[in-house]
Amino acid sequence: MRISRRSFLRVLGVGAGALTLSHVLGWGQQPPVKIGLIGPIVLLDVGKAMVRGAQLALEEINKLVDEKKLPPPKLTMDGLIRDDQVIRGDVAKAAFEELVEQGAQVIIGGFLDEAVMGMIPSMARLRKPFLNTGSSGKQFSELVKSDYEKYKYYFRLMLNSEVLAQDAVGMVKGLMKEELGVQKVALVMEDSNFGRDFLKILQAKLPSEAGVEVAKAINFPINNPDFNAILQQIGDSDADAIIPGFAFNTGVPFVGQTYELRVDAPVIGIITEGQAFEYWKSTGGRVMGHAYADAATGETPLTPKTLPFFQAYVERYGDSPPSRPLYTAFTTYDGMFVLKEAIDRAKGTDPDRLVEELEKTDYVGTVGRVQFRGKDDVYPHDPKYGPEYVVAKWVLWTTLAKDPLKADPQKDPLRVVIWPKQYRLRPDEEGRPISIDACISKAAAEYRAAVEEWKKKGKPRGGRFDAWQAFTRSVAKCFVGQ
Amino acid sequence: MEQILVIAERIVIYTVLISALYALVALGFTMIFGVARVLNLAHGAFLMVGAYTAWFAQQYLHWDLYSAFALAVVVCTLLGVVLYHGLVRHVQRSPIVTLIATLACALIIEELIKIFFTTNTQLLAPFISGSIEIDKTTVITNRIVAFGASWAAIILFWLFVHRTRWGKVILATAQDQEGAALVGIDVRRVYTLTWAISGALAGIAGVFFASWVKIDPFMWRDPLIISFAIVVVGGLGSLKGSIVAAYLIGFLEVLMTYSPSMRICTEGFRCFEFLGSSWVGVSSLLVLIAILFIKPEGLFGRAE
Repeated sequence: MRISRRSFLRVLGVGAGALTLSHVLGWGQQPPVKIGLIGPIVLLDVGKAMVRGAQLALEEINKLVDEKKLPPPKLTMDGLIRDDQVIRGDVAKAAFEELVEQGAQVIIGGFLDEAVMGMIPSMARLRKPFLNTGSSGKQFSELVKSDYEKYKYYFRLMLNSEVLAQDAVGMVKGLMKEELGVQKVALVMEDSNFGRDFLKILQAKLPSEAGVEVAKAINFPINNPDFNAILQQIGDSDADAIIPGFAFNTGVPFVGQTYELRVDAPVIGIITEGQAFEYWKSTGGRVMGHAYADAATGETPLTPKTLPFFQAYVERYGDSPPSRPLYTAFTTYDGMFVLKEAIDRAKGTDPDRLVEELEKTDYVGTVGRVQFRGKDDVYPHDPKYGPEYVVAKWVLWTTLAKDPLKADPQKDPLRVVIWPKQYRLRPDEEGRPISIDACISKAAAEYRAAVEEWKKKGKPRGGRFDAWQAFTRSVAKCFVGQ
Repeated sequence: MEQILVIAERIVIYTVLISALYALVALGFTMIFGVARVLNLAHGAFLMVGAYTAWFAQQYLHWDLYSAFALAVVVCTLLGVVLYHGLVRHVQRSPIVTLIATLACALIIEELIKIFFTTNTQLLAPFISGSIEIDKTTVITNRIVAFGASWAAIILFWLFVHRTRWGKVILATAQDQEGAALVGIDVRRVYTLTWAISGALAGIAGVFFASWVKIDPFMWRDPLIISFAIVVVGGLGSLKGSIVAAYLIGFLEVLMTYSPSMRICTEGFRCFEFLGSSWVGVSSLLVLIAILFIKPEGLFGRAE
């Protein structure tokens, strides 16, 4: 068959035009995968941080796709972010179903167990993968264990409450007992699912596994933020340290009152809202010396991805709270990359294929190396726990300012990882990690000596409080390399 | 034995301190009901406005706490007057509508605070920092200040009501509104004054309540529940009753903090704890229910 020159040119012209138009109009490109996000985005900073972490990851992933450093498809969250009103399981459930109707192929987010529990039946019925980046209830992974085929779409980047409590036991043994000389602790837990579980586990495991006695265990109601009498009882119990467990917003009065009373027991535990950078301002600097479990701090280079993410976050959102990434920002940011990798490997968003590929995840994120536990594990689809994977980081609030109450809340507060030892790091000028373990260990030895001296003097009120404040200040100096 | 005495001493000291604040918190609430027969469910929100005003003046205007405190009292006084003239005056004839309208007002204030301020919990700096020892009990110094200020406000209020002409006018209106109007008392002016005083008392209580515990957009609920319980237990409209009830509820709350808890587990279900520190908030409501059954008019209330 002969093709005339004119026909050939016409076909060539139409072809070239179509190719140009297709590039402009996106013909022939894979449509972006729709990711839905559900969390307490209106009321709580953890929810806002979740959205911000997802947004930064999304932009980064799509840029890498444009630069052909990652294969298509891109990801989108346009119009797919919903609020769960913090504790409303029914609202979260409706949001999940509505997002799936809108075409979301995967859902990410979740904060309180009560809201996440509302989404789980819809997830199972609609067969849409859900990546939990905020809640710690172990009941969700237990569901996967109990009926794998039904609940296999559930994955989590957070450590569950049981593992977190186990991590706390390890911290009590390694940091509190062996380094700081703690023999007896007081447990102050809120009366919630989280607080009750945490209390039960610590009461059972601290004496046998950490060799530390529980001198006092207090379960206080969430709506009663008066701690004066409780702290006095702890003083009477002769506890060497306090372990709090607060998921609701009751930490501020606790922090204020421990400072005003100069309680002779360092506070090391879990206060969720205390992970926010704004907490220093909220407590007027009285959080000085408290150490709380966290996923990451940002300032500490846990992996090569931690500092770049932290800097990108602060550059974009540094002027509006939460001005520093909260744990949900880290986990959701990592979660988006985990999803993208699984989608690429699955070559699509078929839920069952996606589950298979998510199970093969091996991703070094901002909080550590993420691999999900297998279906035969006791907690299927939770992140693997351990020094080479993900662990909790125990972060101390400190400052170099002479008087913490007069410190500039924007510039002066420092958050330094004091446990586990492998993460006792500070960044050098290029952001490379330098160990400050020896420096912190020395400060801990000085604290122990000061406490012995205080005991010899008959335990005058405020003596151990002052010793702990001195330890805290020494840690700040270690962190800035003084 | 010595340990029991120490615990008893602590229970007494903490009760004395916290109950004074509770009495102050309930004072404005009982006054509005006593004089105008209005259950002002926005009373807790008044306290919250006082707390946020002081916090805002401290954080953003960099005022000292005393000036911030004065501003909070002025703002709450004006808020009381505005709420009365802008809303309550128009719906006062229907107790149900008034109840719902004042509750709606509290919810609007909560939402406005969420919009204009943060939802994060904040701490108001104490008037005096630190703590002191009273025998074997350690007390936060600011609580002594709050105790003193609460009693000063209560005494001044009592003196105003019983020793001044305007106070007697308020008492007369409280006893019989129509009779007061017949003898030439401008009842509307009395109501305005009552709402202004109630607002001022809420402003004072709000600042101390905030410096005692915390500030957040939901902080109005506890003071409202406390006020309600105190006023019902003490007898609606009775100043003496409110003070006695404040001490009763304060005592029970402190007692719960010190009482050992009893754990009862049901087979195949979760365990329940009775008494102990997790029952602090429940105790006042149990007293309220008990009083409603035994003496519905309250300890010092007048039977209808």
